[in-house]
Amino acid sequence: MQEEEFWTLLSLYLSKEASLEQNERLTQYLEADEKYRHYFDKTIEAWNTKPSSVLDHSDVAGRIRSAIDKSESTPIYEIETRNTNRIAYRLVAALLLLVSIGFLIWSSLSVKIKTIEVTADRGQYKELIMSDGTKVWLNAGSHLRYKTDFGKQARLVDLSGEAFFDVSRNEQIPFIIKTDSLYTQVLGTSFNVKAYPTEKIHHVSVLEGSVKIYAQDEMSKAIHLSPGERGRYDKVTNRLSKEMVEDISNDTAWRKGILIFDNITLEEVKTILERKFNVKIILEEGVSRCLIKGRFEESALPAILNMICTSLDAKYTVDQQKTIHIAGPGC
Amino acid sequence: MNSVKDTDVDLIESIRDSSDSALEKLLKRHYTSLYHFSFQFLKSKDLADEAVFETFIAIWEHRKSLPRLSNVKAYLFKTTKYKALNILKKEQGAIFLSKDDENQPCAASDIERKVIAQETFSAIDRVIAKMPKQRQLIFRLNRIEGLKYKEIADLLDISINTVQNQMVNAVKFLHDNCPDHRQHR
Repeated sequence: MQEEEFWTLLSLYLSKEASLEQNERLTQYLEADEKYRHYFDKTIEAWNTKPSSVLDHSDVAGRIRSAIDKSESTPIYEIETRNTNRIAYRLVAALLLLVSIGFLIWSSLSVKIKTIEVTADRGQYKELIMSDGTKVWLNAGSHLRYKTDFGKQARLVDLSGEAFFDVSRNEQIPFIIKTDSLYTQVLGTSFNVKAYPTEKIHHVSVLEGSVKIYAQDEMSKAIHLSPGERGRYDKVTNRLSKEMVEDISNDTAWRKGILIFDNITLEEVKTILERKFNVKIILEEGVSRCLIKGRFEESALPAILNMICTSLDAKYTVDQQKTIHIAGPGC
Repeated sequence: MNSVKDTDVDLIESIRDSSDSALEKLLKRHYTSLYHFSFQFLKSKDLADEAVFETFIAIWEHRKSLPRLSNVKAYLFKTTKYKALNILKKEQGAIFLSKDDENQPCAASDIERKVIAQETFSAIDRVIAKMPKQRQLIFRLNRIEGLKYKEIADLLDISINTVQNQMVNAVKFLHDNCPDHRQHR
């Protein structure tokens, strides 16, 4: 037996790299000599002391965030697959070189059109300013898509989810928002569009100016919305309608982090909370049809859940998968 | 706010779908490890951060063409190493893991300063910091990151034998340098 071998066996054991035979051999050392037993105990103790330091990542995170935000406004270039035939490649290389100068001039005049997508994930919310000066606030779980030639001949964006628009006025080029099969067309105004793909009804709420909404291919049946009015589009029946709303600014309160539930079912509240806080909520039988009325300003999720549960005489629990369960007597 | 626990693979999938919050989560989870790792090459706090920064920017820029990853951590280490070596080339700095620094005690002052600032510097960190550079690196990758000898050998372009020898030395070093809390029985 040798000390050198003992240390090798011990390190293999600690690294979980030892074979059965090697572990067997290590045991022999430990049984043979008290000295090895002592080495073993002391080293195990040191090995098991976990380094406690976790370094602060926020500097690097901040730099990454600002670098990403900058690149977001430029198109994402797609990788093109290239023919790997090298001989042919060389033959055309010379020709390409000659053409490329002309191409460079031409391409600076006509840039390839790409699609840009901006996403606000669940639990997130984003603000952006478009090249025409239009401001967009994107709510949690929403996407906004537009082409790189946005603003040149048309101002067309594709929305999935909810967003508030403050559109810069341009009489020549109307601003059009496409959601599923609903079109919202304006010249310059501020309004909210709520069109989550999972929801049957889409809403357009107008704060200022006037807005025209119409279903796909039915521009003649468009309806006009004035400030304080909310347009309603039923995806299933393809029906458009409008209503006057007492406090239209409630529809845009989400921009300030405020949640307003105006006699909606707990099922609907669940969808909103899941989106805003990026959590999963399961409603036990009975409670999902209960109506909720309330206003929550900058509240944390536990506070909101407590209020809801108090009003319904229900209880919420969080399981090991961090899923929230709400159970109660029902309504 | 409690949110659903994502695995590294889940986060990569979200990053593929352009989720910048997933990118930040991944950074938060691995920052300490990657910082220590790139520090071994660059020996400067700012440059070590730069390598980590470039790694995550590269992941973001190539998010649409990221390979399917089973071991995200190994991929992060590999990319960070690549970025760190590029920075090193640019900086014309010391050559990494040259034979002669083998026996030099590692000047851990920068790491120490950064960690001490947060008052979370434990005794074991101090012992690890005293190891020679290559040994320290290998020890961290095995003990803290849980990489196998084979994975470490691939990552650092060294033989498994070297990894094993360094681990034997590291374990001995740990024994010799850690305070003995047990009284002799």
